[in-house]
Amino acid sequence: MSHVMHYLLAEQIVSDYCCSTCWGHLVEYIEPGGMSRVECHQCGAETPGFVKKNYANRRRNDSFSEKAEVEALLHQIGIINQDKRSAADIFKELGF
Amino acid sequence: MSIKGLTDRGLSFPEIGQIRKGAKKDPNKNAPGADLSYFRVEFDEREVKAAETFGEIYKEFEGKPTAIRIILPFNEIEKMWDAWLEAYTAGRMVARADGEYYVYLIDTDTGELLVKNGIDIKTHMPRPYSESQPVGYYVDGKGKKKPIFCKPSGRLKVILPELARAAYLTVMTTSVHDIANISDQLRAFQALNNGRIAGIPLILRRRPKSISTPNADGTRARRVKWLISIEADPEWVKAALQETKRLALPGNGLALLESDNPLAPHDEPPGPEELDLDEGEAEGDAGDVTEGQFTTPEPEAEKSQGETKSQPAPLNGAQRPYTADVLRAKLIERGNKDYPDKHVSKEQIGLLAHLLDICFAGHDDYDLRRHAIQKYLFGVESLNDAPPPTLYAALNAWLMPKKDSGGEYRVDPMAVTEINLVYAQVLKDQGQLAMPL
Repeated sequence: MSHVMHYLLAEQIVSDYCCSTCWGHLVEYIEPGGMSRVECHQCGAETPGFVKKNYANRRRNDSFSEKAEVEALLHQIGIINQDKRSAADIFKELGF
Repeated sequence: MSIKGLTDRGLSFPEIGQIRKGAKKDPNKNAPGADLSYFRVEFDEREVKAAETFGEIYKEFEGKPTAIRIILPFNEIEKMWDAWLEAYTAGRMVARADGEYYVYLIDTDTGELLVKNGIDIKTHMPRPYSESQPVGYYVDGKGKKKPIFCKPSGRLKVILPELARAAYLTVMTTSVHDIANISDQLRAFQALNNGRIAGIPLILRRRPKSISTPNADGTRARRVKWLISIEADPEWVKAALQETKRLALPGNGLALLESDNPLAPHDEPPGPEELDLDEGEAEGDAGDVTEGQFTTPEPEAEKSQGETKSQPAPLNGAQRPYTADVLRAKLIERGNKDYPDKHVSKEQIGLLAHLLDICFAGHDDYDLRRHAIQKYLFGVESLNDAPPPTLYAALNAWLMPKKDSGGEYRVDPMAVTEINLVYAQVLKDQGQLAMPL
């Protein structure tokens, strides 16, 4: 999906936003007539849209606690099994 | 079909795919994809194994599943269910509203931020949302200026239990009917299960419903649309409704009892710190409780238990040891009467489980027996899900733990007898004949 816009808006988008799919960095490509094209450096022409960098960073932080909460739930209801390695197994893995 | 880059976000609890209702948008047409009667499930391109597992489980649907087993990751609805009115242009969100006020709004011409976190940047007041007012304009391919309006958007995070991973898929919908329906259903599950919805086995389903939709000329007509419905696993619903029905009875079904309750009120049960019993405090607490209030065991326990199946148990004036159903009723009655607002700590629940275990010491299947007892007495597989007042009564008024000279907990002997009667009743209910325990 092509995102062509005024170069001033494009500069602001690149500064404040990231790719809505992979949350990767955006790149501005100069187009004729004072316009610019904005694409994700990873998704390229397939960049579907943009999300705020602040939002992406906040979600990354929230995700840590969400993971702990969800893993505890999945253990509790028996969907994933807890790692039952013994101390001896762990030492062995560490090379002792 | 796969999504590129979804798992590159660096999230600990990542989104690995999306569950959509409509067909993929035709790049040559400026219109959304057609409504489907099944779910279109797309995984991230790196989630090959997850996609294969999903395809294997739902192979009978031939890639067009109309029902998907899910669980919800959190108890808080707002943590997994987003429903807003949103508007997008040039690939970015330009407005978000809750139906009354804007939560986020930018000027589509200048990119200037107008509303942030529900507050207008200039006026420092909430800016009211109006359905008929465009949030901005865009220039289409023919150079014509067109207004942008907010549209409903709902996203629900769900876990597929078969994948056995702490990762979620997002169910996406733009139907106002779906959004209302999902919101109602989530609230209903929460109410039905005492606020807990995480981990409930659910089924995400497409259901046809005739709804009023606009025609091209502005008139309206009823059309069949395939809406999203979240339904609970039938077994879970059955168990939950039985519990609700029991609680809805007057006095939880015990209002007709006479007042001469042999389980008389007494002191508080030992707290977790007391139950550690390093100082021997719990012996005194528990021992003072109901000592001397129980009659001598009747010798023909099996006879009493045999009567419970065919006719209602005589609750009033019943002598100990109680038959299984009398004991269950007494515990509920005692809990609701004397400890309606009590909470039970994890340590106390752990102690209760331990006490039940030691009643079956010497049996290889003590764990299974304990779960059978729990299911019978408290109506739940896990003690964590049992009503706290009943647990409190069981610990305090029935089992009455004491430490022996060796520092080990001992259960009241009468309670041990009754536990065996309960287990005998469970076996009888399962179709087994009475047997010596």
